[in-house]
Amino acid sequence: MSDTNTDPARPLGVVVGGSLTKGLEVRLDPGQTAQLGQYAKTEVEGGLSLLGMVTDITLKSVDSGPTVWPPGEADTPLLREVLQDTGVYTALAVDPYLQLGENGEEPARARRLPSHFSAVHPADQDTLDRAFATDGPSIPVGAPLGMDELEVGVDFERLFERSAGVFGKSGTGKSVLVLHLLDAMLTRSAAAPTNSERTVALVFDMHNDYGWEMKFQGPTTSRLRSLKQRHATDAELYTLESGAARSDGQILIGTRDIQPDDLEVLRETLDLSDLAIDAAHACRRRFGPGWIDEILADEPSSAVVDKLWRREPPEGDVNWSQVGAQMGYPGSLESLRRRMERLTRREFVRTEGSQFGDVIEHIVRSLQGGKSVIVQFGRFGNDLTSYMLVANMLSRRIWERYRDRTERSQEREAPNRLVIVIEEAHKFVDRSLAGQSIFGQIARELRKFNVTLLVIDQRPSQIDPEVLSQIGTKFTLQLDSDNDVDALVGNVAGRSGLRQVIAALESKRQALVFGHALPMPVVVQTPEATNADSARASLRARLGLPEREETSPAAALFGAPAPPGDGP
Amino acid sequence: MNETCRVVAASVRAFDCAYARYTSEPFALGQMLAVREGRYLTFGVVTGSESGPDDPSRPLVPRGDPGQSAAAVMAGNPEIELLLRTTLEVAICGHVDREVARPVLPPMPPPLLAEVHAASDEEKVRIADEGRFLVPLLANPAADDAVVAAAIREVARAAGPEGRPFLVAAGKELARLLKAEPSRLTSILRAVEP
Repeated sequence: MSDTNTDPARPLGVVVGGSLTKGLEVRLDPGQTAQLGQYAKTEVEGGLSLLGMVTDITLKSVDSGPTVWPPGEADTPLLREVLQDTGVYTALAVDPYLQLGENGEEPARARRLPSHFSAVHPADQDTLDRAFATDGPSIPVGAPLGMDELEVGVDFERLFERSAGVFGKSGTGKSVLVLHLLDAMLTRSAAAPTNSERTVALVFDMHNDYGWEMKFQGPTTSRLRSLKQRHATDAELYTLESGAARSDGQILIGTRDIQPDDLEVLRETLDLSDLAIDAAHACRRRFGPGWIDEILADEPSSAVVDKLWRREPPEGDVNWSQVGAQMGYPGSLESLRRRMERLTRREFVRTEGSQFGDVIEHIVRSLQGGKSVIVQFGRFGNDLTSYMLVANMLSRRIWERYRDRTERSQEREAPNRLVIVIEEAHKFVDRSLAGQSIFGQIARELRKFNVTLLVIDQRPSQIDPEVLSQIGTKFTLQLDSDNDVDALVGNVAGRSGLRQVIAALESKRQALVFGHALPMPVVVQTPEATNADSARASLRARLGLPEREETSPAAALFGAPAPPGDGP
Repeated sequence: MNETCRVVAASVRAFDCAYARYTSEPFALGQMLAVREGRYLTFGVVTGSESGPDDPSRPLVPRGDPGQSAAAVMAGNPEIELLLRTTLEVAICGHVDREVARPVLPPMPPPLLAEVHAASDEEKVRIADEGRFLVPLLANPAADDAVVAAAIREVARAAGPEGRPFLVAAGKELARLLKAEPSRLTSILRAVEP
């Protein structure tokens, strides 16, 4: 509703009932309008303000009269007009979240109720500023619903100190929102005095959105400058394709780099059975680091035969069926071989060697040096197996490096904070995989090793509930399935109201944000996709950074041109 | 209508007023009247109107030739008018106390034999007070649906451009007062804006 009242001086209505646990019932004043997710405030005893959110709107009748004798089509307009707000009225359910003091005290959870007939007003900027005040920088996440001129920010530190998630069905604006968050992260980090104070991202960019530019369907802009263009010196771009333009390096995986543990997450996409995984572990144990090269050979090598039949090798040529039978995996080894053949056909997988160590070393050095790394999948973006293999292998090894450094280090030497960004998160941390996946472990360990997640997903109900419960801050765009909505609101206080709010979100650029980084849920119109400098200036201001003059590449090389008339 | 109407019986809830003789055009049903004498200015709404012989034991006998109008019969029999009288019943709906209009019953009845006038448009709007004059009016059993509807219509007309907002406000007041009688509310509002 575009005509929603946001004038703080004009009351929305009066409190006519309610409780702290079930929310307030507010009778909407005649001629007023309100919408789900809107902020409302009222006064309580002791000079306190109560800030809440409209979580439901219902049509009610005072008694049965108007519903038993409703005005008909032929009735005068006066009868309908009179019955509005007398015989029938509109009631708002307002969930009270915060109690705000007058003298700059910390906002506290709402513990008092307003008296009957207290006036309820739309929240104003001052109230929102007090409610969402942060000690440090904040990231603007948009305007609260129906309050286009106001702005809400999430606490930068709290957002990234625990894992966060962006959820929504396809086309709702997840990618633009994530780009906005990452842009803020890199902007803020670039101003940090030391590398260890920087928060950096390792982005597994499935659809090539976060590297050089983001292509999208929008009213004005179809290409949005992405992280590498916005932060040329603070972002590195890796690709899986060879010879990709603007790439700082290629990700190559040697067959010797792949461990059986790395195959666990590929069970579904590679159609690997439990026995095939067991066979992989057996092969690794028996044949060593080159186990994949060994089983990919047309015929078993003499080394394989020697290891399996030390004293009594069979007569004649040995084939893979015999090897499988000897190992105790007669069919599964064949199945594993076929799948490994499929896996290693990819351009970025190289046989008979180890390639990964250098890549890992380089990336870790970049990350701990304060640079964010974007891994672009190029044409492999639609290949879920490639995405999961690379994301899992890289993340596991980089996380181990962070863990080792954290465990060895004194506090002053602890590594900087790393946020790993993964798409299609439910594929990595579904109920069956959450135990094995490195991402499940990262989510569960919170910030123990300075590594957290930013997950992007369309199907949160498929994510392991334990992992989902560790997602600190949730950005929820429109979702179709009730299961997905239920999974997100879980056991959050006021969940039934939040469920209603999510169900009413519009299909684009509207998000319910709640959790660790915010004192209370907020429905926002998320920032528009734009390359405008004004938006960047606003972001820097919100992050507490001074405005920076953009330096052109030419000016960086040759210095700024002299002003006219300043010559000799 | 130039005849003078005066209070002939009064209480704090209602008064009767009568013309000196019969009049064919008395104050209308639902019209708001003012008594501007006494300590308070008293306002009321006409709830009943009756014309007939002063002496009930001497009923009026039909006279006149076929096709002759009432005015012509009266003109031909001037003695009849002396025996007839028009009286009105008025439900009090408000008063003015020291220039403050109050849509409630006055502390005391209007003086007997005080002159009764039609309230001015401004007085009607002030006393009606967005429909609050309906509270004392509805409390009077004589104010039936037709009276209430006519009274609301009359004030709306007096309010001019503000007539529609007044109708809605008065309707809402009525809805509150008649919340237990939705069918009555419906019939009054239908009569207000047919």
